[in-house]
Amino acid sequence: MRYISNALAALLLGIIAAACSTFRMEPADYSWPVESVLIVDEEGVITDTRYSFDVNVSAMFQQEEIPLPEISGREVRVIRDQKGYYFMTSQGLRNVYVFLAEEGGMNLVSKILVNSEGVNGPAFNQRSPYIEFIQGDNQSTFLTKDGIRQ
Amino acid sequence: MNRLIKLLIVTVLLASSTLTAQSDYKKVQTFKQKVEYYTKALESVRSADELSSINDSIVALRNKFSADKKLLDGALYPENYNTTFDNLIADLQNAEEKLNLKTQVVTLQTQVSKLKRDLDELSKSYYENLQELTKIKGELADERSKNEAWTSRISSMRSNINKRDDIIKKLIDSLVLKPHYNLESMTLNEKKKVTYNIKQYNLLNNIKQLLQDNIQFINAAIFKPEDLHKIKNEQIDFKERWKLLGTTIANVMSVESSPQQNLYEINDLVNEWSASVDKKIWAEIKSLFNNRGIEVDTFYTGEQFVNSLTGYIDSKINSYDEGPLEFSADEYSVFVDSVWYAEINLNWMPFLLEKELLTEEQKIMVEEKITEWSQVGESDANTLRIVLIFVAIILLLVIIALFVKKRS
Repeated sequence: MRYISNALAALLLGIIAAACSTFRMEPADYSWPVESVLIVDEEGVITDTRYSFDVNVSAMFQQEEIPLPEISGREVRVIRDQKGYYFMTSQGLRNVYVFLAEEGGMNLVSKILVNSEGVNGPAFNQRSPYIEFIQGDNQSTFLTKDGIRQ
Repeated sequence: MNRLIKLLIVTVLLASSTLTAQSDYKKVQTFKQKVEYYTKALESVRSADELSSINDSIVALRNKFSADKKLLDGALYPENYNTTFDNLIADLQNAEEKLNLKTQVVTLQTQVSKLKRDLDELSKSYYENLQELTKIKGELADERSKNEAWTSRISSMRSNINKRDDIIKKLIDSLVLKPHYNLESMTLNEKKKVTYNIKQYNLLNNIKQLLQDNIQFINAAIFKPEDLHKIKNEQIDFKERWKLLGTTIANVMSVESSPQQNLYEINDLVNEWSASVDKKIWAEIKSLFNNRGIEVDTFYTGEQFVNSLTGYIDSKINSYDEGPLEFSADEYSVFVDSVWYAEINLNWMPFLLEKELLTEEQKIMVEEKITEWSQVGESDANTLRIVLIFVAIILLLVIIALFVKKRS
């Protein structure tokens, strides 16, 4: 009987400790006021000094069949929405790529087709809860992580 | 209801954005470029009109982007919309101050150029006066007209020297001791600039020339005591100023590797001028004795002055003791009453003591010697009195004897 009560007490403490280590803080707003325009270096890396991150974007260009030697010096436009998703694209890409930051990298959440012939003059604006995407002659669409808002 | 309002807002947002979609990034970049453009323009602004035009543009920029304040507050981090304009206004004020300073410098340069022209003209006029003075010395036979012409030239030359001194003071103030130059914290470039100005306006040579003219002037002319007092004061004042200024100029000009020969020469001339003025003062004092037929030894310092006078009195006292000369009340009276008290003590002594050409102790030494001389006079007078009384008694006894003999 004594052993059982000790085991229950230990179990209770374990539950309390586990509950304390997995709490959630909310709400959070990750939105950037304005997009970052970053230049891809020779190794395919973009560096954002304001938000202190760098990431290798060569996989995104490979998706569009653009090899590494051709991506160096290109501009990548990045913006983060309220929920923390990263929206990325670049001149000539057909899609806007949505990522979520994970340990040591960014995971693709969705790929939004915005121009089958490749975008011209792309730009993102923060329009919480949406991301405004502009291309061509100020042609504007609103995006979420799941796609174009109709 | 809330959902409906949100939907409405989003719809309006979507509709308006479709019509006027514009990249926020582009907007921010345009704003940043304009701010950078005005900041650079303010660094090189050249006129008040330009400054005013930039000011108007900044006000217009502020108004134009006021609707995007929130966007800019986020995008300009760590600055924001307000601090960006605060910085621009601070730059605007700095540019205005710089512009004012530039205007002051231009005015100063104009003034300095005028001062330099005045200085050159005065130097020319000084040498003309000096030539005239030499002419008067040699050519005019009539003493009265000679004196009048002489006095007029001397006065004109003194005024000339004073004006030049004044101009040099102003030049120094303008070129070296400008209020905005803090000598202790002067940068190398500022020192180079001041050095360049000193050279461009030939400042050190002008100071040298003025000192040489002062020395020439003091040696060439004859002065009244009050003139010499003024000249001595000017000389002391200059020496004091040069002590400070010479150090300052040496410090500023130390940026140059060549030795400052001019500074050493000026130091020598300052000392030479001081010695010349002192020599003139002592010569004037000696002439007071000479004019009354008293031949004292020449003196150029306070110590020599005391030695000369006490030596003269000693020689007089000794000569009475040794004969054949006797104490002369006239000689004593001329030396003591007419020269020592009436001239030296009255017109010169306060000045000599004040300017430390003579000490109180040295004055007392001369006066003690005068007292000694007067005592010799008194002892001679006493002896004479005793002899006279003795003669009178003998005469009286002879008269009484004659009278008694006659009666008997």
